Amino acid sequence: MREALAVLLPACAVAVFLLPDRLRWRSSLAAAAIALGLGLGFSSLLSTALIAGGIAATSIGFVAIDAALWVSVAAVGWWLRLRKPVTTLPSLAGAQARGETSLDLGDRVPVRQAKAGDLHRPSANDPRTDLTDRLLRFAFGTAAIVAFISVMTSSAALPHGDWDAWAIWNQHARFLFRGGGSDEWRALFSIRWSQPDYPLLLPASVARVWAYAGHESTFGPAFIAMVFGMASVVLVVTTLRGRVAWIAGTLILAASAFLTQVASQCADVPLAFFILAALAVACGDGLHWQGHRTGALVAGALSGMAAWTKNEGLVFVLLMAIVAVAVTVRPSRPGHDSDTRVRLRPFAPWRGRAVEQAWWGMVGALPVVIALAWFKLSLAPSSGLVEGQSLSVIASRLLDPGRHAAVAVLMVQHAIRWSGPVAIAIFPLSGLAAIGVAIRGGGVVRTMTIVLGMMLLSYYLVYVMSPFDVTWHVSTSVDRLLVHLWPSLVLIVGIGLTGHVSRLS
Amino acid sequence: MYTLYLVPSWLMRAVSAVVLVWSLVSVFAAWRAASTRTMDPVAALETEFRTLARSLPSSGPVGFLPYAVDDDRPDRVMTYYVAQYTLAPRLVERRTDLQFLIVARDALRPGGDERIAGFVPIASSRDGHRLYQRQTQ
Repeated sequence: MREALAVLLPACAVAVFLLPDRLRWRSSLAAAAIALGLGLGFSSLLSTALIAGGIAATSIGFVAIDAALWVSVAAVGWWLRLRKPVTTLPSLAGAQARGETSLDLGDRVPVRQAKAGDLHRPSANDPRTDLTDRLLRFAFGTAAIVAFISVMTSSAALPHGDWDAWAIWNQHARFLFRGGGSDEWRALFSIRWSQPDYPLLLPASVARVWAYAGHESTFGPAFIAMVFGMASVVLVVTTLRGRVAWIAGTLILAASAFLTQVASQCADVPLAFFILAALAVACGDGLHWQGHRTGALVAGALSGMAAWTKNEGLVFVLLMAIVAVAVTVRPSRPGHDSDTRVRLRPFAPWRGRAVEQAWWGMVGALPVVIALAWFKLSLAPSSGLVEGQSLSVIASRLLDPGRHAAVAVLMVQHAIRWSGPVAIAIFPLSGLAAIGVAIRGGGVVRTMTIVLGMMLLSYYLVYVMSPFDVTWHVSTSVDRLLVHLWPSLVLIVGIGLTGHVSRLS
Repeated sequence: MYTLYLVPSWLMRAVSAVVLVWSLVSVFAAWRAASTRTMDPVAALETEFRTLARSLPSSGPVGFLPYAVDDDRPDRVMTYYVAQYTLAPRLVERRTDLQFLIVARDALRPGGDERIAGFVPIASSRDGHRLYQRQTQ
């Protein structure tokens, strides 16, 4: 179980910075989920640096340096926490008098409810609502247990993961683990069929877990995959509130494609987690540092980690940067600050703070972007999708209506069949629900929906420009690409249905 | 605070109940599908190539003899890929001009294959995959 120690050590060190002063279960669990992801992300950067610096992952020095650094980070974090003045929370009675929920007292979320169609909060002292709440929690718990067993069963049948996992991600991890201490690990960049341009978050994390274990266990990559899958579900459930949280958690697990990808040990679920977490921190309202400098830093770091996980994450980082710039340059409308929907803009409710937070977001992403730039410019070969392609060829593909139609039809067909046969059309239906709440819901929900829509559009354009056979390319990858967006899509629908107000308001 | 359309609460509850039941059925279906999943062949193939790894140097390129026929068949592509996965950080390349050559089962032409002229077998796995070494002159 030294693999678990390898994952928990950096997570605990990051959690020291992220956990709230007063432990409330929702925000603490959300912070813990984010700390797990960020811990794995930052530790993968350190592992890559150590291996590139000539320290073998099989040596005791590798583990000693890694452990010493994370213990030091935790100690610094703890020291900073002790120095920080303790904030006083409003009293329960006072909060209730103001109409705030007692469950998330510190988050200060007003709970005045819409009169119709509201699933957000049960009315007090109603035995029927108690029973409904218990049933929803029971349903989610049942789904979570069954999903866990399902993933474990699949993992047992696929100890090395599915084709892409062993041909790409775990293979790169083997090069890093076995070839460290010399330049032998760089041979991975010569294997053209193994996507050598893919970033190293997942391979370096696996190699690091093996370093702690002292051998190449098949449990290591399976455990990392499970951590990202569970963290995604936990983050959605804790970012949302009330009954919608339990329904959303159950809905995520209903997508068998999501569970299959968890067991596959590929980088798609980690990427889905980073996209979800970045959106939840930047736009959601369930996290205690929402709207603070820490929130912007964390959102920036999470966006950067998406790019350090998979090439598709680069698109997400770009979109998040565009959103941050759009918020900062958007002219403020006088008299709208009292309007909740206007204040639900990402990063900050008003422009002065938006500029500051966009800046801190970029600071958060910077270390990861620097590492990625070093990787892309000095180590990785160019991607097979762009290599040898001329602008005239790309333009001719983009102007070919038959190609557009073929890609669109294939994507729609796969989206409908995604997670079938039982959860058939779950993705398009959720997408329509997200569009519905985005039209009505305003600021945050609209921005998140636009970001996901642009991600989907970018995937579509890559298929149209692809040098490979379109049918083969779409058929072998689109199911995984939809997994990238799935947890965020459920979160958007959940936020839209609950109509949350930022705690800053 | 805003209201999400004017949907009657009974309708929202009904939709929620349908979504919940649908989700639960789907999760159980996923479990059932997972439990009928057959064992992946990668682990077995990996064990085969591990027995050959003991006779190889710890780094450097290793040749892999392409199949005489149907070299691009998925199971044969998988065999080559698993050889690379197993033998990392060595580079397994589809060429025969190297010191060591892996010859997968069924890769040789029946009745003698001139591509392995000058090589001698030095190791063999239980399932018939072989490692050849170039004969010193």
